[in-house]
Amino acid sequence: MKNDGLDSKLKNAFNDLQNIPPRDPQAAARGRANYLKQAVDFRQAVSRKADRRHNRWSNTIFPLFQRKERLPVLNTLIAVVLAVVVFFGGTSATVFAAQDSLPDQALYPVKTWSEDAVLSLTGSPQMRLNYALDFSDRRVAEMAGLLAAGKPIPEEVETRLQNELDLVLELAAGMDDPQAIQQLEQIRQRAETQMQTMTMLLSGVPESAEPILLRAHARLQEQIQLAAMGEADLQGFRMQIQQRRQNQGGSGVQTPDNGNEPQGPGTMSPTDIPGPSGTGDGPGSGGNQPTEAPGQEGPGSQTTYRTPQPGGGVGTMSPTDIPGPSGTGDGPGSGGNQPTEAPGQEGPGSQTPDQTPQPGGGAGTMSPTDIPGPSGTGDSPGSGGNQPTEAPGQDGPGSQTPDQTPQPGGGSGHGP
Amino acid sequence: MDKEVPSDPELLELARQFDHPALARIYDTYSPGLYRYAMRMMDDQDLAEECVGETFSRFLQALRAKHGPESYLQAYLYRMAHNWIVDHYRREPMQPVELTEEHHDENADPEKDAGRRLYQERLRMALKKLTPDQQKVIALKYLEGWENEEIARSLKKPVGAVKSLQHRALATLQRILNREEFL
Repeated sequence: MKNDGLDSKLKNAFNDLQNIPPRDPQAAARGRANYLKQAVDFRQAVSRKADRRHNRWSNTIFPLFQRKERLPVLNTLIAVVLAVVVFFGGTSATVFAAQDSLPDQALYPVKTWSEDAVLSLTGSPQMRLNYALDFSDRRVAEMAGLLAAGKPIPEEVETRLQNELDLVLELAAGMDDPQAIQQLEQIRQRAETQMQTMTMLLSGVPESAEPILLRAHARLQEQIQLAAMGEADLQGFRMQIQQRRQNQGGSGVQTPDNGNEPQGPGTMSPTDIPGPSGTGDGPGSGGNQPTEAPGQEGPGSQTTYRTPQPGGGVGTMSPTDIPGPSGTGDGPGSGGNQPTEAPGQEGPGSQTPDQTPQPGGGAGTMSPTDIPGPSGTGDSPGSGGNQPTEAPGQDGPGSQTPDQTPQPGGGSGHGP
Repeated sequence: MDKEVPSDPELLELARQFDHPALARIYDTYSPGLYRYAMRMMDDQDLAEECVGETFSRFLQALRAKHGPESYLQAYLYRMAHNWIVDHYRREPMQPVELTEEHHDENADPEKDAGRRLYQERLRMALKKLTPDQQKVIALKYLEGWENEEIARSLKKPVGAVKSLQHRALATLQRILNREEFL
Protein backbone atom coordinates (compact mmCIF):
# COMPACT_ATOMS: atom_id res chain seq x y z
CA MET A 1 0.00 0.00 0.00
CA LYS A 2 1.16 3.48 -0.77
CA ASN A 3 1.20 5.48 2.41
CA ASP A 4 3.29 8.39 1.30
CA GLY A 5 2.10 11.68 2.64
CA LEU A 6 -0.16 10.16 5.27
CA ASP A 7 -0.08 10.72 8.98
CA SER A 8 0.17 7.59 11.05
CA LYS A 9 -3.41 7.64 12.33
CA LEU A 10 -4.81 7.86 8.83
CA LYS A 11 -2.38 5.22 7.64
CA ASN A 12 -3.57 2.86 10.38
CA ALA A 13 -7.18 3.57 9.57
CA PHE A 14 -6.58 2.72 5.90
CA ASN A 15 -4.81 -0.46 6.98
CA ASP A 16 -7.77 -1.37 9.18
CA LEU A 17 -10.16 -0.76 6.35
CA GLN A 18 -8.24 -3.22 4.20
CA ASN A 19 -9.08 -6.07 6.56
CA ILE A 20 -12.44 -7.43 5.63
CA PRO A 21 -14.22 -10.62 6.66
CA PRO A 22 -14.11 -13.48 4.13
CA ARG A 23 -16.81 -13.54 1.50
CA ASP A 24 -19.74 -15.88 2.02
CA PRO A 25 -19.16 -18.66 -0.56
CA GLN A 26 -22.87 -19.31 -0.99
CA ALA A 27 -23.61 -15.68 -1.69
CA ALA A 28 -20.70 -15.60 -4.11
CA ALA A 29 -21.98 -18.71 -5.90
CA ARG A 30 -25.48 -17.24 -6.12
CA GLY A 31 -24.10 -14.04 -7.59
CA ARG A 32 -22.11 -15.97 -10.16
CA ALA A 33 -25.09 -18.11 -11.14
CA ASN A 34 -27.30 -15.04 -11.53
CA TYR A 35 -24.69 -13.37 -13.69
CA LEU A 36 -24.37 -16.41 -15.94
CA LYS A 37 -28.12 -16.74 -16.21
CA GLN A 38 -28.38 -13.13 -17.26
CA ALA A 39 -25.66 -13.78 -19.81
CA VAL A 40 -27.69 -16.69 -21.21
CA ASP A 41 -30.79 -14.50 -21.43
CA PHE A 42 -28.89 -11.74 -23.17
CA ARG A 43 -27.27 -14.21 -25.51
CA GLN A 44 -30.73 -15.32 -26.60
CA ALA A 45 -31.83 -11.76 -27.16
CA VAL A 46 -28.73 -10.95 -29.15
CA SER A 47 -29.01 -13.98 -31.36
CA ARG A 48 -32.62 -13.41 -32.21
CA LYS A 49 -33.09 -13.03 -35.91
CA ALA A 50 -33.57 -9.53 -37.15
CA ASP A 51 -36.76 -10.42 -38.97
CA ARG A 52 -38.23 -11.60 -35.69
CA ARG A 53 -37.76 -8.30 -33.92
CA HIS A 54 -40.80 -6.14 -33.58
CA ASN A 55 -39.16 -3.05 -34.90
CA ARG A 56 -41.34 -2.25 -37.83
CA TRP A 57 -44.77 -2.56 -36.38
CA SER A 58 -45.17 1.13 -35.81
CA ASN A 59 -44.44 1.83 -39.46
CA THR A 60 -47.05 -0.68 -40.50
CA ILE A 61 -49.83 0.06 -38.07
CA PHE A 62 -49.72 3.78 -37.43
CA PRO A 63 -50.26 4.96 -41.00
CA LEU A 64 -53.64 3.25 -40.91
CA PHE A 65 -54.76 5.74 -38.29
CA GLN A 66 -53.23 8.79 -39.81
CA ARG A 67 -55.80 9.26 -42.53
CA LYS A 68 -58.06 12.24 -42.20
CA GLU A 69 -61.06 10.30 -43.36
CA ARG A 70 -61.38 6.72 -42.35
CA LEU A 71 -62.92 4.24 -44.67
CA PRO A 72 -66.13 2.68 -43.32
CA VAL A 73 -64.61 -0.75 -43.65
CA LEU A 74 -61.73 0.43 -41.52
CA ASN A 75 -64.14 1.43 -38.76
CA THR A 76 -65.61 -2.03 -38.83
CA LEU A 77 -62.16 -3.53 -38.79
CA ILE A 78 -61.21 -1.44 -35.79
CA ALA A 79 -64.36 -2.49 -33.99
CA VAL A 80 -63.60 -6.14 -34.63
CA VAL A 81 -60.01 -5.74 -33.56
CA LEU A 82 -61.08 -3.96 -30.39
CA ALA A 83 -63.58 -6.68 -29.61
CA VAL A 84 -60.94 -9.34 -30.08
CA VAL A 85 -58.52 -7.39 -27.94
CA VAL A 86 -61.08 -6.96 -25.18
CA PHE A 87 -62.08 -10.61 -25.38
CA PHE A 88 -58.66 -12.10 -25.58
CA GLY A 89 -56.77 -9.34 -23.86
CA GLY A 90 -56.63 -11.10 -20.56
CA THR A 91 -55.42 -14.30 -22.16
CA SER A 92 -52.80 -12.46 -24.16
CA ALA A 93 -51.52 -10.72 -21.08
CA THR A 94 -51.27 -14.02 -19.26
CA VAL A 95 -49.44 -15.63 -22.14
CA PHE A 96 -47.10 -12.65 -22.34
CA ALA A 97 -46.45 -12.73 -18.63
CA ALA A 98 -45.76 -16.45 -18.79
CA GLN A 99 -42.88 -16.13 -21.21
CA ASP A 100 -40.30 -15.56 -18.49
CA SER A 101 -41.65 -18.18 -16.14
CA LEU A 102 -39.64 -21.13 -14.93
CA PRO A 103 -40.85 -24.73 -14.76
CA ASP A 104 -41.59 -24.47 -11.06
CA GLN A 105 -43.92 -21.55 -11.56
CA ALA A 106 -47.63 -21.56 -12.09
CA LEU A 107 -47.50 -19.87 -15.48
CA TYR A 108 -45.03 -22.32 -16.99
CA PRO A 109 -47.72 -24.55 -18.53
CA VAL A 110 -49.05 -21.42 -20.26
CA LYS A 111 -45.60 -20.78 -21.62
CA THR A 112 -45.19 -24.29 -22.99
CA TRP A 113 -48.71 -24.27 -24.33
CA SER A 114 -48.07 -21.03 -26.18
CA GLU A 115 -44.85 -22.45 -27.62
CA ASP A 116 -46.65 -25.53 -28.86
CA ALA A 117 -49.36 -23.33 -30.32
CA VAL A 118 -46.80 -21.22 -32.12
CA LEU A 119 -45.12 -24.27 -33.57
CA SER A 120 -48.44 -25.78 -34.62
CA LEU A 121 -49.75 -22.60 -36.22
CA THR A 122 -46.59 -21.63 -38.04
CA GLY A 123 -46.61 -22.92 -41.57
CA SER A 124 -43.22 -21.89 -42.84
CA PRO A 125 -40.57 -24.51 -42.05
CA GLN A 126 -38.00 -21.76 -41.82
CA MET A 127 -40.00 -19.91 -39.18
CA ARG A 128 -40.77 -23.10 -37.31
CA LEU A 129 -37.10 -23.91 -37.24
CA ASN A 130 -36.27 -20.45 -35.91
CA TYR A 131 -38.92 -20.77 -33.24
CA ALA A 132 -37.76 -24.23 -32.22
CA LEU A 133 -34.18 -22.99 -31.96
CA ASP A 134 -35.29 -20.12 -29.78
CA PHE A 135 -37.35 -22.45 -27.64
CA SER A 136 -34.38 -24.73 -27.18
CA ASP A 137 -32.41 -21.69 -26.00
CA ARG A 138 -35.19 -21.10 -23.52
CA ARG A 139 -34.87 -24.61 -22.19
CA VAL A 140 -31.17 -24.11 -21.56
CA ALA A 141 -31.90 -20.76 -19.91
CA GLU A 142 -34.55 -22.42 -17.77
CA MET A 143 -32.03 -25.00 -16.59
CA ALA A 144 -29.62 -22.19 -15.72
CA GLY A 145 -32.37 -20.28 -13.95
CA LEU A 146 -33.45 -23.25 -11.88
CA LEU A 147 -29.88 -24.00 -10.89
CA ALA A 148 -29.32 -20.36 -9.98
CA ALA A 149 -32.36 -20.54 -7.74
CA GLY A 150 -31.14 -23.80 -6.21
CA LYS A 151 -34.16 -25.68 -7.52
CA PRO A 152 -34.31 -29.12 -9.17
CA ILE A 153 -34.64 -29.38 -12.94
CA PRO A 154 -37.77 -31.29 -13.94
CA GLU A 155 -37.27 -33.93 -16.60
CA GLU A 156 -39.90 -32.20 -18.68
CA VAL A 157 -37.42 -29.47 -19.47
CA GLU A 158 -34.88 -31.93 -20.77
CA THR A 159 -37.52 -33.81 -22.73
CA ARG A 160 -38.75 -30.64 -24.38
CA LEU A 161 -35.19 -29.67 -25.22
CA GLN A 162 -34.62 -33.04 -26.88
CA ASN A 163 -37.85 -32.75 -28.84
CA GLU A 164 -36.96 -29.27 -30.02
CA LEU A 165 -33.52 -30.43 -31.08
CA ASP A 166 -35.12 -33.30 -32.99
CA LEU A 167 -37.59 -30.97 -34.63
CA VAL A 168 -35.00 -28.57 -36.02
CA LEU A 169 -33.09 -31.46 -37.56
CA GLU A 170 -36.21 -32.77 -39.21
CA LEU A 171 -37.17 -29.38 -40.53
CA ALA A 172 -33.69 -28.81 -41.92
CA ALA A 173 -33.77 -32.22 -43.59
CA GLY A 174 -36.96 -31.26 -45.38
CA MET A 175 -35.56 -28.08 -46.91
CA ASP A 176 -33.92 -27.74 -50.28
CA ASP A 177 -30.19 -28.23 -50.40
CA PRO A 178 -28.78 -24.68 -50.08
CA GLN A 179 -31.27 -23.73 -47.41
CA ALA A 180 -30.74 -26.96 -45.53
CA ILE A 181 -26.99 -26.47 -45.39
CA GLN A 182 -27.45 -22.91 -44.21
CA GLN A 183 -29.85 -24.01 -41.51
CA LEU A 184 -27.65 -26.89 -40.42
CA GLU A 185 -24.83 -24.45 -39.86
CA GLN A 186 -27.13 -22.34 -37.72
CA ILE A 187 -28.32 -25.42 -35.83
CA ARG A 188 -24.75 -26.49 -35.19
CA GLN A 189 -23.71 -23.05 -33.97
CA ARG A 190 -26.66 -22.77 -31.64
CA ALA A 191 -26.04 -26.25 -30.27
CA GLU A 192 -22.39 -25.37 -29.71
CA THR A 193 -23.39 -22.31 -27.73
CA GLN A 194 -25.93 -24.29 -25.76
CA MET A 195 -23.35 -26.95 -25.04
CA GLN A 196 -20.94 -24.30 -23.79
CA THR A 197 -23.62 -23.13 -21.42
CA MET A 198 -24.32 -26.69 -20.37
CA THR A 199 -20.64 -27.22 -19.69
CA MET A 200 -20.61 -24.11 -17.54
CA LEU A 201 -23.67 -25.27 -15.66
CA LEU A 202 -22.11 -28.65 -15.04
CA SER A 203 -19.30 -27.08 -13.08
CA GLY A 204 -20.40 -26.98 -9.50
CA VAL A 205 -23.82 -28.40 -10.19
CA PRO A 206 -25.59 -30.21 -7.34
CA GLU A 207 -25.47 -33.99 -7.66
CA SER A 208 -29.20 -34.26 -8.06
CA ALA A 209 -29.21 -32.14 -11.21
CA GLU A 210 -26.15 -33.70 -12.77
CA PRO A 211 -27.81 -36.64 -14.59
CA ILE A 212 -30.23 -34.39 -16.45
CA LEU A 213 -27.51 -31.95 -17.41
CA LEU A 214 -25.27 -34.78 -18.55
CA ARG A 215 -28.01 -36.19 -20.75
CA ALA A 216 -28.73 -32.78 -22.21
CA HIS A 217 -25.03 -32.27 -22.78
CA ALA A 218 -24.75 -35.61 -24.57
CA ARG A 219 -27.75 -34.82 -26.72
CA LEU A 220 -26.31 -31.45 -27.69
CA GLN A 221 -23.07 -33.15 -28.61
CA GLU A 222 -25.03 -35.49 -30.83
CA GLN A 223 -26.85 -32.53 -32.33
CA ILE A 224 -23.57 -30.90 -33.26
CA GLN A 225 -22.31 -34.09 -34.83
CA LEU A 226 -25.49 -34.59 -36.83
CA ALA A 227 -25.56 -31.02 -38.07
CA ALA A 228 -21.89 -31.18 -39.02
CA MET A 229 -22.52 -34.43 -40.82
CA GLY A 230 -25.40 -32.83 -42.68
CA GLU A 231 -23.22 -29.95 -43.78
CA ALA A 232 -20.77 -32.47 -45.25
CA ASP A 233 -23.18 -35.07 -46.59
CA LEU A 234 -26.70 -33.83 -46.92
CA GLN A 235 -28.11 -37.01 -48.42
CA GLY A 236 -26.65 -39.18 -45.71
CA PHE A 237 -28.03 -36.78 -43.15
CA ARG A 238 -31.50 -36.97 -44.63
CA MET A 239 -31.42 -40.75 -44.56
CA GLN A 240 -30.37 -40.70 -40.98
CA ILE A 241 -33.10 -38.28 -40.03
CA GLN A 242 -35.60 -40.43 -41.86
CA GLN A 243 -34.51 -43.42 -39.88
CA ARG A 244 -34.70 -41.46 -36.67
CA ARG A 245 -38.22 -40.50 -37.58
CA GLN A 246 -39.13 -44.12 -38.16
CA ASN A 247 -37.57 -45.04 -34.86
CA GLN A 248 -39.62 -42.45 -33.11
CA GLY A 249 -42.88 -43.48 -34.63
CA GLY A 250 -43.05 -41.21 -37.61
CA SER A 251 -43.80 -37.69 -36.80
CA GLY A 252 -40.61 -36.63 -35.26
CA VAL A 253 -42.43 -33.71 -33.80
CA GLN A 254 -43.14 -34.67 -30.30
CA THR A 255 -45.99 -33.29 -28.44
CA PRO A 256 -45.23 -31.65 -25.17
CA ASP A 257 -47.39 -34.06 -23.32
CA ASN A 258 -44.85 -36.79 -23.44
CA GLY A 259 -43.24 -34.86 -20.65
CA ASN A 260 -41.71 -37.18 -18.18
CA GLU A 261 -41.27 -40.18 -20.34
CA PRO A 262 -37.75 -41.08 -21.16
CA GLN A 263 -37.28 -40.37 -24.79
CA GLY A 264 -33.80 -40.33 -25.97
CA PRO A 265 -33.10 -40.46 -29.62
CA GLY A 266 -34.43 -43.65 -30.97
CA THR A 267 -36.38 -44.63 -27.96
CA MET A 268 -39.87 -45.78 -28.21
CA SER A 269 -42.48 -43.48 -27.03
CA PRO A 270 -45.03 -44.77 -24.59
CA THR A 271 -47.52 -44.97 -27.35
CA ASP A 272 -45.41 -47.19 -29.55
CA ILE A 273 -47.20 -50.39 -30.12
CA PRO A 274 -45.00 -53.39 -29.75
CA GLY A 275 -44.98 -56.20 -32.19
CA PRO A 276 -46.71 -59.38 -31.42
CA SER A 277 -43.63 -61.22 -30.35
CA GLY A 278 -42.48 -58.80 -27.75
CA THR A 279 -41.37 -55.31 -27.35
CA GLY A 280 -38.24 -53.36 -27.21
CA ASP A 281 -36.62 -52.37 -30.36
CA GLY A 282 -33.81 -50.61 -28.73
CA PRO A 283 -32.88 -49.66 -25.32
CA GLY A 284 -34.72 -46.73 -23.95
CA SER A 285 -33.05 -43.99 -22.16
CA GLY A 286 -34.44 -43.96 -18.73
CA GLY A 287 -34.32 -41.39 -16.05
CA ASN A 288 -32.15 -41.28 -12.97
CA GLN A 289 -29.43 -43.31 -14.47
CA PRO A 290 -26.17 -43.86 -12.71
CA THR A 291 -23.20 -42.36 -14.39
CA GLU A 292 -21.08 -44.15 -16.84
CA ALA A 293 -17.72 -42.94 -17.79
CA PRO A 294 -17.35 -41.37 -21.21
CA GLY A 295 -16.39 -43.58 -24.05
CA GLN A 296 -17.98 -46.70 -22.88
CA GLU A 297 -20.88 -48.48 -24.21
CA GLY A 298 -23.54 -49.18 -21.75
CA PRO A 299 -25.90 -51.99 -21.75
CA GLY A 300 -27.77 -52.17 -24.90
CA SER A 301 -26.00 -49.50 -26.76
CA GLN A 302 -25.95 -49.64 -30.44
CA THR A 303 -23.49 -47.76 -32.46
CA THR A 304 -24.22 -45.64 -35.44
CA TYR A 305 -25.23 -47.23 -38.69
CA ARG A 306 -26.14 -50.48 -37.07
CA THR A 307 -29.48 -51.57 -38.21
CA PRO A 308 -31.16 -53.87 -35.82
CA GLN A 309 -33.23 -56.49 -37.46
CA PRO A 310 -36.64 -57.42 -36.34
CA GLY A 311 -36.36 -58.49 -32.82
CA GLY A 312 -32.96 -56.95 -32.49
CA GLY A 313 -32.21 -55.70 -29.13
CA VAL A 314 -29.28 -55.71 -26.96
CA GLY A 315 -28.98 -59.25 -25.92
CA THR A 316 -25.79 -61.13 -25.83
CA MET A 317 -26.93 -63.62 -28.35
CA SER A 318 -24.44 -64.63 -30.87
CA PRO A 319 -25.47 -64.71 -34.51
CA THR A 320 -26.02 -68.40 -34.25
CA ASP A 321 -28.40 -68.17 -31.42
CA ILE A 322 -31.82 -69.01 -32.60
CA PRO A 323 -34.36 -67.75 -30.24
CA GLY A 324 -37.61 -69.38 -29.77
CA PRO A 325 -40.70 -67.86 -31.15
CA SER A 326 -41.62 -66.62 -27.79
CA GLY A 327 -38.97 -63.96 -28.10
CA THR A 328 -37.36 -64.53 -24.82
CA GLY A 329 -33.96 -62.99 -24.89
CA ASP A 330 -31.19 -63.97 -22.63
CA GLY A 331 -29.30 -60.73 -22.68
CA PRO A 332 -29.34 -58.45 -19.81
CA GLY A 333 -31.99 -55.82 -20.04
CA SER A 334 -31.24 -52.30 -19.41
CA GLY A 335 -32.92 -52.38 -16.13
CA GLY A 336 -32.94 -50.23 -13.13
CA ASN A 337 -30.17 -49.30 -10.80
CA GLN A 338 -27.36 -50.74 -12.75
CA PRO A 339 -23.89 -50.41 -11.45
CA THR A 340 -21.39 -47.99 -12.82
CA GLU A 341 -19.15 -49.33 -15.46
CA ALA A 342 -15.55 -48.60 -15.93
CA PRO A 343 -14.54 -46.46 -18.88
CA GLY A 344 -13.89 -48.21 -22.11
CA GLN A 345 -15.74 -51.34 -21.41
CA GLU A 346 -18.73 -52.60 -23.13
CA GLY A 347 -21.66 -53.15 -20.96
CA PRO A 348 -23.64 -56.26 -20.94
CA GLY A 349 -25.66 -56.70 -23.96
CA SER A 350 -23.76 -54.39 -26.17
CA GLN A 351 -24.12 -55.34 -29.71
CA THR A 352 -21.17 -55.48 -31.96
CA PRO A 353 -21.61 -54.67 -35.60
CA ASP A 354 -21.31 -58.28 -36.63
CA GLN A 355 -24.02 -59.46 -34.40
CA THR A 356 -27.38 -59.73 -35.89
CA PRO A 357 -29.94 -60.42 -33.28
CA GLN A 358 -32.73 -62.54 -34.50
CA PRO A 359 -36.33 -62.07 -33.74
CA GLY A 360 -36.95 -62.27 -30.12
CA GLY A 361 -33.38 -61.98 -29.09
CA GLY A 362 -31.83 -59.35 -27.00
CA ALA A 363 -32.81 -57.18 -24.24
CA GLY A 364 -35.71 -54.94 -24.75
CA THR A 365 -35.88 -51.57 -23.31
CA MET A 366 -39.44 -51.39 -22.46
CA SER A 367 -40.60 -48.38 -20.73
CA PRO A 368 -42.99 -48.94 -17.92
CA THR A 369 -45.88 -48.17 -20.15
CA ASP A 370 -44.82 -50.26 -23.10
CA ILE A 371 -47.10 -53.14 -23.59
CA PRO A 372 -45.27 -56.30 -24.37
CA GLY A 373 -46.62 -58.65 -26.92
CA PRO A 374 -48.18 -61.81 -25.82
CA SER A 375 -45.07 -63.85 -26.32
CA GLY A 376 -42.56 -61.22 -25.43
CA THR A 377 -41.74 -62.44 -22.05
CA GLY A 378 -38.52 -61.79 -20.35
CA ASP A 379 -37.06 -61.07 -17.05
CA SER A 380 -35.85 -57.70 -17.90
CA PRO A 381 -37.27 -54.92 -15.89
CA GLY A 382 -37.16 -52.82 -19.00
CA SER A 383 -36.01 -49.31 -19.15
CA GLY A 384 -37.51 -46.33 -17.52
CA GLY A 385 -36.18 -47.14 -14.14
CA ASN A 386 -33.03 -45.90 -12.58
CA GLN A 387 -30.71 -46.60 -15.38
CA PRO A 388 -27.13 -45.62 -15.65
CA THR A 389 -26.54 -42.12 -16.77
CA GLU A 390 -24.57 -41.48 -19.83
CA ALA A 391 -21.74 -39.14 -19.86
CA PRO A 392 -21.26 -36.95 -22.91
CA GLY A 393 -20.18 -38.77 -25.98
CA GLN A 394 -21.01 -42.22 -24.92
CA ASP A 395 -23.56 -44.64 -25.96
CA GLY A 396 -25.51 -45.58 -22.95
CA PRO A 397 -28.43 -47.69 -22.34
CA GLY A 398 -31.06 -46.94 -24.73
CA SER A 399 -29.20 -44.57 -26.88
CA GLN A 400 -29.96 -45.27 -30.40
CA THR A 401 -28.35 -43.42 -33.19
CA PRO A 402 -30.14 -42.26 -36.24
CA ASP A 403 -29.23 -45.13 -38.48
CA GLN A 404 -30.77 -47.65 -36.26
CA THR A 405 -33.99 -49.02 -37.42
CA PRO A 406 -35.64 -50.86 -34.66
CA GLN A 407 -38.25 -53.27 -35.68
CA PRO A 408 -40.98 -54.66 -33.67
CA GLY A 409 -40.62 -58.11 -32.41
CA GLY A 410 -37.64 -57.88 -30.12
CA GLY A 411 -38.06 -59.81 -26.99
CA SER A 412 -37.16 -58.52 -23.67
CA GLY A 413 -34.08 -59.90 -22.07
CA HIS A 414 -33.10 -60.84 -18.65
CA GLY A 415 -32.22 -57.90 -16.59
CA PRO A 416 -29.18 -57.87 -14.46
CA MET B 1 -3.62 -6.13 -4.13
CA ASP B 2 -5.26 -6.49 -7.49
CA LYS B 3 -2.86 -6.04 -10.31
CA GLU B 4 -4.17 -4.57 -13.50
CA VAL B 5 -4.59 -7.45 -15.89
CA PRO B 6 -3.14 -6.58 -19.27
CA SER B 7 -5.81 -5.55 -21.70
CA ASP B 8 -7.22 -8.62 -23.27
CA PRO B 9 -9.06 -7.64 -26.42
CA GLU B 10 -9.60 -11.25 -27.33
CA LEU B 11 -11.37 -11.95 -24.04
CA LEU B 12 -13.51 -8.87 -24.47
CA GLU B 13 -14.27 -9.78 -28.05
CA LEU B 14 -15.51 -13.18 -26.90
CA ALA B 15 -17.49 -11.51 -24.12
CA ARG B 16 -19.20 -9.29 -26.69
CA GLN B 17 -20.41 -12.45 -28.39
CA PHE B 18 -21.68 -13.61 -25.00
CA ASP B 19 -19.25 -16.47 -25.00
CA HIS B 20 -19.89 -18.19 -21.69
CA PRO B 21 -16.42 -19.37 -20.79
CA ALA B 22 -15.08 -15.87 -21.44
CA LEU B 23 -17.80 -14.25 -19.36
CA ALA B 24 -17.29 -16.73 -16.56
CA ARG B 25 -13.55 -16.11 -16.63
CA ILE B 26 -14.11 -12.38 -16.36
CA TYR B 27 -16.39 -12.88 -13.40
CA ASP B 28 -14.05 -15.28 -11.64
CA THR B 29 -11.10 -12.95 -12.19
CA TYR B 30 -12.61 -9.68 -11.07
CA SER B 31 -15.50 -10.38 -8.72
CA PRO B 32 -13.34 -11.14 -5.62
CA GLY B 33 -11.49 -7.83 -5.95
CA LEU B 34 -14.68 -5.90 -6.60
CA TYR B 35 -16.25 -7.47 -3.55
CA ARG B 36 -13.31 -6.49 -1.36
CA TYR B 37 -13.44 -2.98 -2.76
CA ALA B 38 -17.15 -2.65 -2.03
CA MET B 39 -16.70 -4.09 1.45
CA ARG B 40 -13.98 -1.59 2.26
CA MET B 41 -16.11 1.24 1.06
CA MET B 42 -19.40 0.13 2.56
CA ASP B 43 -18.61 -2.35 5.32
CA ASP B 44 -21.73 -4.34 4.58
CA GLN B 45 -21.61 -7.83 3.09
CA ASP B 46 -25.07 -7.70 1.55
CA LEU B 47 -24.44 -4.33 -0.01
CA ALA B 48 -21.06 -5.47 -1.28
CA GLU B 49 -22.65 -8.51 -2.96
CA GLU B 50 -25.32 -6.25 -4.41
CA CYS B 51 -22.64 -3.94 -5.71
CA VAL B 52 -20.79 -6.80 -7.41
CA GLY B 53 -24.00 -8.17 -8.88
CA GLU B 54 -25.07 -4.78 -10.21
CA THR B 55 -21.63 -4.07 -11.61
CA PHE B 56 -21.59 -7.27 -13.63
CA SER B 57 -25.20 -6.82 -14.65
CA ARG B 58 -24.40 -3.37 -16.02
CA PHE B 59 -21.38 -4.83 -17.75
CA LEU B 60 -23.60 -7.37 -19.53
CA GLN B 61 -26.10 -4.67 -20.42
CA ALA B 62 -23.32 -2.58 -21.87
CA LEU B 63 -22.13 -5.52 -23.94
CA ARG B 64 -25.64 -6.11 -25.21
CA ALA B 65 -25.92 -2.47 -26.21
CA LYS B 66 -22.61 -2.85 -28.09
CA HIS B 67 -20.89 -0.60 -25.60
CA GLY B 68 -18.58 -1.57 -22.81
CA PRO B 69 -14.84 -1.34 -22.52
CA GLU B 70 -12.50 -1.61 -25.44
CA SER B 71 -9.69 -2.60 -23.12
CA TYR B 72 -8.70 -2.26 -19.45
CA LEU B 73 -11.57 -4.28 -18.19
CA GLN B 74 -10.49 -3.99 -14.57
CA ALA B 75 -10.48 -0.21 -14.68
CA TYR B 76 -13.91 -0.26 -16.31
CA LEU B 77 -15.43 -2.63 -13.72
CA TYR B 78 -14.06 -0.69 -10.76
CA ARG B 79 -15.40 2.52 -12.24
CA MET B 80 -18.83 0.93 -12.53
CA ALA B 81 -18.65 -0.43 -8.99
CA HIS B 82 -17.60 2.92 -7.60
CA ASN B 83 -20.39 4.71 -9.44
CA TRP B 84 -22.85 2.26 -7.95
CA ILE B 85 -21.52 2.93 -4.46
CA VAL B 86 -21.73 6.69 -4.94
CA ASP B 87 -25.27 6.38 -6.31
CA HIS B 88 -26.22 4.17 -3.41
CA TYR B 89 -25.11 6.72 -0.83
CA ARG B 90 -26.90 9.45 -2.70
CA ARG B 91 -30.10 7.45 -2.45
CA GLU B 92 -29.57 6.19 1.06
CA PRO B 93 -27.30 8.29 3.24
CA MET B 94 -24.97 6.32 5.44
CA GLN B 95 -26.42 5.21 8.75
CA PRO B 96 -24.30 5.37 11.89
CA VAL B 97 -23.06 1.95 12.93
CA GLU B 98 -23.77 0.69 16.39
CA LEU B 99 -21.30 -1.46 18.25
CA THR B 100 -22.91 -4.87 18.67
CA GLU B 101 -22.02 -8.20 20.21
CA GLU B 102 -20.25 -9.26 17.05
CA HIS B 103 -17.76 -6.51 17.62
CA HIS B 104 -16.99 -7.85 21.05
CA ASP B 105 -13.64 -9.56 21.54
CA GLU B 106 -12.64 -10.66 25.01
CA ASN B 107 -8.94 -10.30 24.31
CA ALA B 108 -9.23 -6.86 22.88
CA ASP B 109 -9.17 -3.59 24.67
CA PRO B 110 -12.80 -2.51 24.32
CA GLU B 111 -12.05 1.15 24.62
CA LYS B 112 -9.28 1.03 22.06
CA ASP B 113 -11.30 -1.21 19.76
CA ALA B 114 -14.30 1.08 19.94
CA GLY B 115 -12.07 4.05 19.23
CA ARG B 116 -10.57 2.37 16.18
CA ARG B 117 -13.96 1.36 14.80
CA LEU B 118 -15.25 4.83 15.39
CA TYR B 119 -12.33 6.29 13.51
CA GLN B 120 -12.87 3.82 10.66
CA GLU B 121 -16.47 4.87 10.38
CA ARG B 122 -15.49 8.53 10.47
CA LEU B 123 -12.98 7.85 7.73
CA ARG B 124 -15.62 6.14 5.61
CA MET B 125 -18.01 9.03 6.15
CA ALA B 126 -15.26 11.52 5.41
CA LEU B 127 -14.51 9.67 2.17
CA LYS B 128 -18.13 10.13 1.13
CA LYS B 129 -17.69 13.89 1.45
CA LEU B 130 -14.97 13.94 -1.19
CA THR B 131 -15.80 14.41 -4.85
CA PRO B 132 -16.42 11.12 -6.68
CA ASP B 133 -13.04 11.31 -8.43
CA GLN B 134 -11.22 12.08 -5.19
CA GLN B 135 -12.99 9.16 -3.50
CA LYS B 136 -11.97 6.88 -6.30
CA VAL B 137 -8.35 7.97 -6.20
CA ILE B 138 -8.08 7.50 -2.45
CA ALA B 139 -9.89 4.17 -2.44
CA LEU B 140 -7.94 2.71 -5.33
CA LYS B 141 -4.59 3.96 -4.08
CA TYR B 142 -4.81 3.46 -0.32
CA LEU B 143 -7.31 0.63 -0.06
CA GLU B 144 -6.68 -1.33 -3.24
CA GLY B 145 -3.01 -0.46 -3.67
CA TRP B 146 -3.19 0.51 -7.33
CA GLU B 147 -0.43 2.42 -9.10
CA ASN B 148 -1.12 5.92 -10.36
CA GLU B 149 -1.04 4.72 -13.98
CA GLU B 150 -3.76 2.17 -13.29
CA ILE B 151 -5.88 4.75 -11.50
CA ALA B 152 -5.39 7.13 -14.39
CA ARG B 153 -6.76 4.51 -16.78
CA SER B 154 -9.75 3.90 -14.54
CA LEU B 155 -10.51 7.60 -14.27
CA LYS B 156 -9.61 8.27 -17.89
CA LYS B 157 -7.36 11.12 -16.73
CA PRO B 158 -3.65 11.83 -17.09
CA VAL B 159 -1.34 10.64 -14.33
CA GLY B 160 -0.57 14.24 -13.36
CA ALA B 161 -4.23 14.92 -12.80
CA VAL B 162 -4.48 11.82 -10.63
CA LYS B 163 -1.59 13.01 -8.46
CA SER B 164 -3.21 16.38 -8.12
CA LEU B 165 -6.54 14.79 -7.18
CA GLN B 166 -4.80 12.62 -4.65
CA HIS B 167 -3.06 15.57 -3.04
CA ARG B 168 -6.26 17.58 -2.74
CA ALA B 169 -8.23 14.58 -1.55
CA LEU B 170 -5.79 13.83 1.28
CA ALA B 171 -5.78 17.45 2.37
CA THR B 172 -9.57 17.53 2.40
CA LEU B 173 -9.76 14.24 4.21
CA GLN B 174 -7.39 15.40 6.93
CA ARG B 175 -9.32 18.63 7.29
CA ILE B 176 -12.65 16.81 7.66
CA LEU B 177 -11.27 14.36 10.19
CA ASN B 178 -9.52 17.05 12.23
CA ARG B 179 -12.63 19.20 12.26
CA GLU B 180 -14.79 16.30 13.41
CA GLU B 181 -12.27 15.49 16.09
CA PHE B 182 -12.98 18.81 17.74
CA LEU B 183 -16.74 18.59 17.44
